[in-house]
Amino acid sequence: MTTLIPVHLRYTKEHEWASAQDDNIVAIGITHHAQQRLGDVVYLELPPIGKTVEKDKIFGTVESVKAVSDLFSPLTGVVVAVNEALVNHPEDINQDPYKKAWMIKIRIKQPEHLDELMDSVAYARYLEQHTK
Amino acid sequence: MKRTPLYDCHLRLGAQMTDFGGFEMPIRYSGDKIEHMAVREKVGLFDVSHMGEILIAGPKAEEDVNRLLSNDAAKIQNGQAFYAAMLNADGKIIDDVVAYKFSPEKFIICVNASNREKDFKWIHENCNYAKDVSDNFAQIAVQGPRAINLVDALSPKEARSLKRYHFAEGKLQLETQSTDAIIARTGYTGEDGFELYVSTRDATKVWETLFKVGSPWGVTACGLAARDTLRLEAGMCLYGNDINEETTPFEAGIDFVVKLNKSHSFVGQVALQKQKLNGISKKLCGLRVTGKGIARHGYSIHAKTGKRIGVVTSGTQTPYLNQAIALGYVESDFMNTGTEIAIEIRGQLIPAQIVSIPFYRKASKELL
Repeated sequence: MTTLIPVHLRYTKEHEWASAQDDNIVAIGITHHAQQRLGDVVYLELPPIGKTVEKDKIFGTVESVKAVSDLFSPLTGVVVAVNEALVNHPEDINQDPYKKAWMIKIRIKQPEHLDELMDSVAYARYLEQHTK
Repeated sequence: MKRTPLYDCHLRLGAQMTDFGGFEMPIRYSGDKIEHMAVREKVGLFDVSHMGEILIAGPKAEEDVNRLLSNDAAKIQNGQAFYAAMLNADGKIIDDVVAYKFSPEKFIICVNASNREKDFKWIHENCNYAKDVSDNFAQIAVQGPRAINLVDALSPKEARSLKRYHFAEGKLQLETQSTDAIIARTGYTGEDGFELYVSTRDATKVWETLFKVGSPWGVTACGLAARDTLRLEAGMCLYGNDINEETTPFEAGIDFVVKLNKSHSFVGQVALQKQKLNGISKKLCGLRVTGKGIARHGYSIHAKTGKRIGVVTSGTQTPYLNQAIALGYVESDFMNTGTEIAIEIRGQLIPAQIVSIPFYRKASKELL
């Protein structure tokens, strides 16, 4: 099975991705591998705009037909946008995990923290080591 | 971890594998919803070779089965299968099984994979002759409205003559040979369908032939995830989730498998007679989440006042009905259909309702 890992994104061990935007804004979602493990996603719970999310802490929940999974924030920041369209159509997480299925955008204080996350090569290696 | 004879077939189909009952099993191939819908609308194939099979034989086989199981083996015809509970002395469920009656001298009991060793030990201790024959069989479930067309291609006589919950020993015609099989019109999906017990040696050929003849009918390989959502929609219990050695058949709402007045006494009978007299204090009920969220195994159930009244044992967002449905035990004061309750989902009490089981029922004229 092919696992898609775009080169321009950063990744966490919990299989979230982070995408640097302008003005210290970072978009967050879950990886192709994560959606594949979950199966068909049917429900998504995200924090409201204005809420502070903390690195490695739970910011939301995603549920598939089969299971519930917590979403962990790759970075600390304040939520500036929430993908409401995705909440109404969580199946997009399966179909387009990296574009349509961004979940939240946060403003971070220290942009250098983004570089501490895994790049695509490191994430690919991590996946190889931790999955069959 | 153990593998079924179809393990390589699953890998070739790109299945995602998981540990289930000590076996490395396919959890999904193409997607949970696609697989679920294929069974409701067309036909799905499941590898259920992980299930255990225990042979009970000899002149006292029927007597033994009647002592071990709650249902009445004497009232069942040869060539008929029946769902039953195997109980301990307290009337609690050791396992839920399907028993196949070949003759009063020969039965095969199909048991849950996770209970195979426990069940065999129990059966062995409580009857005259029993043998674990699980390793002789692969089991393929062909389920859905088009299942009949697939089985018809391999075994026309049985496909056309078998009524629901009947079985026959016959042959399956493969491409260059035929193979012996037990062909049963049984299943765990709420649809019409068959379960084929075949030799481990020919399992791959049977699987591949079913795929080939099934392609015009839209045959789809289905994993354990779809098996679970299908059985839940059909309101069927899953051992380990909805029933276990803490629950009785009356509490689980499977009263129809308990024949308290049958001619032979059975293990657990006295306890169940007592429970019938005194009534049950909890009951497995259908639940539908009316608010936002999905109820899952282990979530607590509350009355509208907030008082805790039970626990969810299985739950999902079901693909066919597209609703958050669940099974759970509630105190008997709250078990009536229509009762408004709440389920605690991640710290919040979400409105839900007691609904009747099954959630999904195939129109009866379509089910033979």
